[in-house]
Amino acid sequence: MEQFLFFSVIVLWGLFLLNFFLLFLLFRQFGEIYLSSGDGIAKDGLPIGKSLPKDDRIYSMKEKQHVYLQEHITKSSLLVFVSSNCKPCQQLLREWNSAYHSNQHMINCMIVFIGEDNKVQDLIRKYSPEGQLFWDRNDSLFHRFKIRVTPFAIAIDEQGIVRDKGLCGTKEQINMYAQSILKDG
Amino acid sequence: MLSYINGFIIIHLTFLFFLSALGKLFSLRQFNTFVNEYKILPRRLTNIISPLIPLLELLGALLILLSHTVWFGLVLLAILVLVFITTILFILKEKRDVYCGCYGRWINAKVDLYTLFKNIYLSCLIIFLSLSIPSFGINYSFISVLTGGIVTAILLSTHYYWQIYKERLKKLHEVRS
Repeated sequence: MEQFLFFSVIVLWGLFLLNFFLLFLLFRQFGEIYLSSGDGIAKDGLPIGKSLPKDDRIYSMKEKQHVYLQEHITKSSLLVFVSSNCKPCQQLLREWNSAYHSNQHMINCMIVFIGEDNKVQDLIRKYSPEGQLFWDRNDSLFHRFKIRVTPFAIAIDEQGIVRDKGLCGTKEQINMYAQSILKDG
Repeated sequence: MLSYINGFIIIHLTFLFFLSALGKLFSLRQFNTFVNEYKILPRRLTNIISPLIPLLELLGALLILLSHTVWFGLVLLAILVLVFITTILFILKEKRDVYCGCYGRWINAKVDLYTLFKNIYLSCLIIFLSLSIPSFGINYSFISVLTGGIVTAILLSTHYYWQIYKERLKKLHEVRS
């Protein structure tokens, strides 16, 4: 009897692990189908038409202290979230300065870095991006802005209202978002 | 009780290697193609070694069943698993997308992290047996044999579902691109 119970427990554990494994696959597949699709990513970020939260503080790499993000929205702005571990972000940073020079007279171009301090510093050393640079130290802004994938851009008008948003991996996309805010403004 | 656990693990390994060998033997030509795609050994040498692998698996599975040949079986299976792990690591390092041919045509398994973890799991079982058998011996009972069979079926089904999942994901990415 004791042996029967013992081996039954082994079989039950095996079945439990199988169920767990199948559920894991199911949820991963669900995520791939619904969350990684273009439609899914389009739902990321603050909703269009919503104001930027007023009490969001973020570390400014230029001023070397925490600042209110709202204070830096002096005119229409493009806020681009860049992660230190993603390859498309590095591609964007390669083209950033060129896009910055063609848009800086019309909009504020700002980058919010996400990731560990040393990796972010490496990225800045490697690409020397111009414009306002912020570091989202504990990913708080990243989560408050409801972003899941990077590079992600949020186009904000001078009143601090979100006008456009989406994935942003190239210079052309930066120009597109810049045109989008200026057209709406 | 540990002697029965040893018996259960031996049955589990026997079923697994037996089915794996049968799968390969039923589609030997295809398995030979898969091994050639590994690009580890020269083609001529691969053509000689690839039919030996299922035969050695079959031999190992039978040897561990008998009490006086269990050690030969364990050493043989340990060498095979070690060769498999090394091959998988080599392929994973090169990031190549190749079939492992683990169960021939029965499961279109690819060389990936799952196959690596499966082989690490098998090596853990072999190490456990080699430490436990000298002290506790081996005993079989109907329930330990049945459990061995069921656990093997569970392991094979996880591999099967994993492959289905990966194929669907690949199709999904193809449709999107």
